[in-house]
Amino acid sequence: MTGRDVLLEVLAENLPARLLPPAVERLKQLAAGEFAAAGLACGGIEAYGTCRRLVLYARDLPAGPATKALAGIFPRLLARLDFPDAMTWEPSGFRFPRPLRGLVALHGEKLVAFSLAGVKSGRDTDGHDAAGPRRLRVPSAERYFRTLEHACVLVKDEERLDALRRGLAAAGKRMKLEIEPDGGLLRETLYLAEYPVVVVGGFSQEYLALPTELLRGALKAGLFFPVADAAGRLQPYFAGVRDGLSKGQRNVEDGFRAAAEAALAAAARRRAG
Amino acid sequence: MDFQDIILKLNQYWAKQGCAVMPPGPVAGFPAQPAHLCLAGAARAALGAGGPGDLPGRYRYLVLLRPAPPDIRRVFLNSLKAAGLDRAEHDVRWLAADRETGPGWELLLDGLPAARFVYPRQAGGVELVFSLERLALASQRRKNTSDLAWAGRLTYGDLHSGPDGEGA
Repeated sequence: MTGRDVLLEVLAENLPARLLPPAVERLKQLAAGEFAAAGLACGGIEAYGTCRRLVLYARDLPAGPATKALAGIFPRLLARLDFPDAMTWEPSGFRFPRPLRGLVALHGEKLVAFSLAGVKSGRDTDGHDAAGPRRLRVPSAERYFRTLEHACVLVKDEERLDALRRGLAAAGKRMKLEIEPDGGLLRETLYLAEYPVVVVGGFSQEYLALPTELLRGALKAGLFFPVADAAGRLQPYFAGVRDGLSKGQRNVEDGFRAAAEAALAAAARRRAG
Repeated sequence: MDFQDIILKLNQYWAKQGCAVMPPGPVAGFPAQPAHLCLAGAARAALGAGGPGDLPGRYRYLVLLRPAPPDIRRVFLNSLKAAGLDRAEHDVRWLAADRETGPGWELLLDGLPAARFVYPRQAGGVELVFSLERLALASQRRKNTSDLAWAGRLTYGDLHSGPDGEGA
């Protein structure tokens, strides 16, 4: 009999984007250490992060006493994550960057029962915010990613990055222009949306009179990707990223345009000084 | 939704959450006591507000909850819904912000700053501050504050002759 997969999902209030990549890496390392120390041999350990989740996934762990060992390992792992900026919010004094509100812990279909920061582990989590308050039941560790995808959450960082890159490329193609794929902004955007959707818009031509680097900097500071023509000349357009399906697209387009123009106007004012 | 209806709906919503709805007034912050407290109400922004990093507009809606309920995130999103802003129809992103008073977020509604959400270290609980102008602009799909419907045919511009975004 082969083993079953293991899932630990920490659901929190939105975590700071800059903390997520190091936390994901550390979670993976700590888990490898804890699993080895407990003599648990599995077929590979993965970790992922979104703005609301930290996820540990281990493949193919033999059933039996392992489930019980996991109940000891999971809370210890999370306590060892040790964030530089952490807060406390409940009587046990557990420290995390923002309040932890849910724990899903499964070995196959089996619940890995423990509690931490006043939260008991279970089988239920949240889908995407835009889908409303309906709770989501995770039937088994193996069906976790599929279940979340159906609820419009791309848990895997690289899948979100793919979706984002594809969205930017498609939008660029539609405009017959180049959306500048800034690395820092891509990374930040990746941890601000569980389901990134690209929205393009235009701003008033007058801002093109600003120095190129100032224009670029102002757009990026406002979380917008600059758009250029084939020769690299900036155009009066931008690409933004919203979190969720493309419903109410007009609202978002209008808001993004106002936000981009506000960022550009502020940069122009600072320059005029 | 009219500007004044947004205030009325928010009052109703937060009263239902067990908050004492306070008369409009200046932002006073958390009283030290009691341990269980929920206050809500419209307020004028402090003098000098509207600077960089601050919320737009003259008017705030302020909520103080102690302790913060575990589902405060959803309670917050539902309050936007009560004000006519359905999350399915609008983008909401949470920019982590560490303020002097404590950790929290700046909330972007369709890309524009619309609210602050802070866990004050000293006072405990949670403090929510909404820009009423921003909620109304999104809800009424307007570009200029002065065009906002305040009550029926009476506009924001009819009631305020100064320039937009001034603190007082």
